[in-house]
Amino acid sequence: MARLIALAVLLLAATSPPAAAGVYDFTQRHGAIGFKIGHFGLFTSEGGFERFSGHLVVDPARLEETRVEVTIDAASVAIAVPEAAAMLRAPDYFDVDRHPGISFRGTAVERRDDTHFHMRGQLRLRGVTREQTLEITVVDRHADGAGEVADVVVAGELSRGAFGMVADRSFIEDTVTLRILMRIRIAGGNGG
Amino acid sequence: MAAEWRPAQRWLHWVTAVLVTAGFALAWVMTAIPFRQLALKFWLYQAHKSIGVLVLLAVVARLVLLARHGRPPSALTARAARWAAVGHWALYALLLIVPVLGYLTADTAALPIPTLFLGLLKLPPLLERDPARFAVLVVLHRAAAVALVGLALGHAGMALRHRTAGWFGRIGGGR
Repeated sequence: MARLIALAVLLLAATSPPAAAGVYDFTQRHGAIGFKIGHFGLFTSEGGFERFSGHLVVDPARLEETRVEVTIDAASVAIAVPEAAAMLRAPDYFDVDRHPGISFRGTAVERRDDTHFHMRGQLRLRGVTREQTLEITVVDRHADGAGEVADVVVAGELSRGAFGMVADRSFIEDTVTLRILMRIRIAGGNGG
Repeated sequence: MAAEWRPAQRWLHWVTAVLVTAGFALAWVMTAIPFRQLALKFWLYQAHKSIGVLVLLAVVARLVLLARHGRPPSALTARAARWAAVGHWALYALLLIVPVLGYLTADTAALPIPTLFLGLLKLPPLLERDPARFAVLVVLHRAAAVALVGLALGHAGMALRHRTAGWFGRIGGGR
């Protein structure tokens, strides 16, 4: 059944990776993709995706050349109550039968400073592709036995309506806030 | 001992009866409608929760009035009066317990939905969200609510019986 495709996270666009770049794969074991949506000041709902996989090309010396591709299993959407999860999988929301995957392809990274980056990319959701920007903050970089890893927080906002997700507008706001936490390998290890 | 119920005591008695009836009816409706009717379900739950808070306030006020003014003398036999007293105190207890359990049930529910008193005032949670506690509390809240309504029906039945027997329901304002 449908494996999926699409939301997103980190770093590079590309052709062939820079000479010193590492290529790494990551999944939900390396982090979490979460979202938050408001109900007009009454309360806020939070959810996430339990299955995703990504591919990262990164050169620790040139983080601005980072490229990333992420595929999310839309059916793995998770939220506190089962009725809400079922609603999100249904046609009004992620429509997972028709669009099993959500994907993001990060194609341009701009360095703000040593720990802050701005990424532009293409988000494909419900079969609709839109430009999506994400703000990346490196909260920690440290060596482990195999090389170097970075803990990053990725934040972004999107309009659900722009992807045709227009149900319940009187009760659920249009703006969805993304928050992604990821431990990524940026050097050494199994990269190549 | 008072000669008869004060108007405020009568009024609060009937307010409580109407609120409990409405809260109980709402409970069936709000849980039965599909989750997909998000806004309607949300506001029905909010109405139910506001009713619960109002019941609590009304009962506290009634207990204060009872402590201050007492109750009229009973026309029952001593034995029947003892049973009536047990029933009345059980009703007061349930009228306090059911809203408190409901409040705690809402606090521990999986979704962080606040209790908005009368749709406006966000009341603070007393417990953390906790699915295990929620599972217990929701059962206790429902059981206590069913007991409350059962006892209230019994109370109404006895009042009617006494009324038809000639002891006109004093709380009704009759003679």
